Amino acid sequence: MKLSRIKALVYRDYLIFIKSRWRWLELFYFPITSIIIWGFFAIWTGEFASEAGKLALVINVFWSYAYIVQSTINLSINEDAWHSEAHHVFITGIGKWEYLLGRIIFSLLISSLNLVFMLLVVHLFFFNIASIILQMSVLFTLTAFTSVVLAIFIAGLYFILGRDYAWLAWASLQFFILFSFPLSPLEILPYQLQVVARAMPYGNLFQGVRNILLGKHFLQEVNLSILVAFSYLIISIFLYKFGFDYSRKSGKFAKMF
Amino acid sequence: MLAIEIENLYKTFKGSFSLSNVNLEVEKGEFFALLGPNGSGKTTLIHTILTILIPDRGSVRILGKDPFKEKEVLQLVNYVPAEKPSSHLKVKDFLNCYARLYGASSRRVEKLLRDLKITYLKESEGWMLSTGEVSKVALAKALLNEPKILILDEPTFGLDPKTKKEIHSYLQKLNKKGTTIFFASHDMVEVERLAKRIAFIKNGKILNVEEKNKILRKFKSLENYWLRLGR
Repeated sequence: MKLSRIKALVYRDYLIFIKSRWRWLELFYFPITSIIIWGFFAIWTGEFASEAGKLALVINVFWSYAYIVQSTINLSINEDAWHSEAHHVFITGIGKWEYLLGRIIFSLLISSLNLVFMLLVVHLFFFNIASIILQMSVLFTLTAFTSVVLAIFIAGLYFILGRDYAWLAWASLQFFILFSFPLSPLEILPYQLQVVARAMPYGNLFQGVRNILLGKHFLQEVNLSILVAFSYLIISIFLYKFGFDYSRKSGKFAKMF
Repeated sequence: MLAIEIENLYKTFKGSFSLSNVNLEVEKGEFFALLGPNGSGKTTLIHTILTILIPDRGSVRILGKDPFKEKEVLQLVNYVPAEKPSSHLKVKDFLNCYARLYGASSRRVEKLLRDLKITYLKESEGWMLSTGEVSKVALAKALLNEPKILILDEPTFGLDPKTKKEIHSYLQKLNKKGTTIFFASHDMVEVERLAKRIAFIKNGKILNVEEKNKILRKFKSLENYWLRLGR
């Protein structure tokens, strides 16, 4: 693995990102506007349902952050397909892990910027988050890690299924979020759904966020999140490696890019 | 040492052969053309040489090394595909990105822009370029690493005669300086003008490999050769 090649890919992703105005919309416009909407909801509900609105607002920040980290990685791969460029990238001798790592680093850099903006909006307009920022940082780090893992999983699927499945980049996360039950405590769900939620990449994370906001313990959720994320990481690494090699054998890679 | 060496190469897609027992040797410094009808396996063969496709059986060696195992050898090769990249970046940014990937300097980018007489495109975005300009930029990209072997797939397809001629004379210059050039084409004029040796591929099989001059002596024209082998 060569650092110079990974740096070159990050630089390339940055230039492509700057040129893709629709991705700026995804990064700033949608998350910030939805936070403003939920922020006003939190102010209003604060009058009669104390923490409910605040909870919805903070969960929304996590949800947006998870989406940005994951989709930035997968959209960078999609852009190579859309612009018939991956051939060119791979014949430079770049390896599949360098290719992936470049995308992960770029995504983490750009999504950190996004997170800072979202937290600033929450802090300046809606409520003081300074008191819980340390606990939140742990969960934001875990969210980033989990989203990277999910992006590797989706990249593997994309290589296996081919160019027609580019939509996985922006549609997959919604499925995992749905079964992670972001806005409702897991205890209110039937047992089977609780098991499903706990097995989802973000199920324990959202439970942890809710616990922090309600002043409860959250360490158990952190531990479970790490366990689930590492389990997904093993599957994702296998799927990415298999998918990459499979697409080169089946000819899908040549057709995709 | 051979520039490209292909032995007993097989590739199937959905049960039918796309490449079948392909054996081919390209000498260092050669100007070699791969001729064949649509769907004959030209691009599949190129993709396999470049490791974009994994073969079912057989081996590929580039400058004596297996590119599937020793990826570094790909740094000595470059490629101009039939489908050119459609980047939205400015030409200079597009080329600088690849220069970084190859570890080449931005001075190399400037030199190629000058050599190919496209310095005026530096600040243009990819989508603004004409087909001929895109081809020249793709060629510039393919020369960033000063490749020992340059592989081209339909290098001048769809270009006007003037641009074709410019690209041809640039490729001839490169070949004189020692670059091995391996290209696939349908264009008889192009093949006749450039190639020293020609391989004819049909249904994934190499039917003939011969020096161009011998082919011309035997068949009078490349068109006759094509019609005889391609029927």
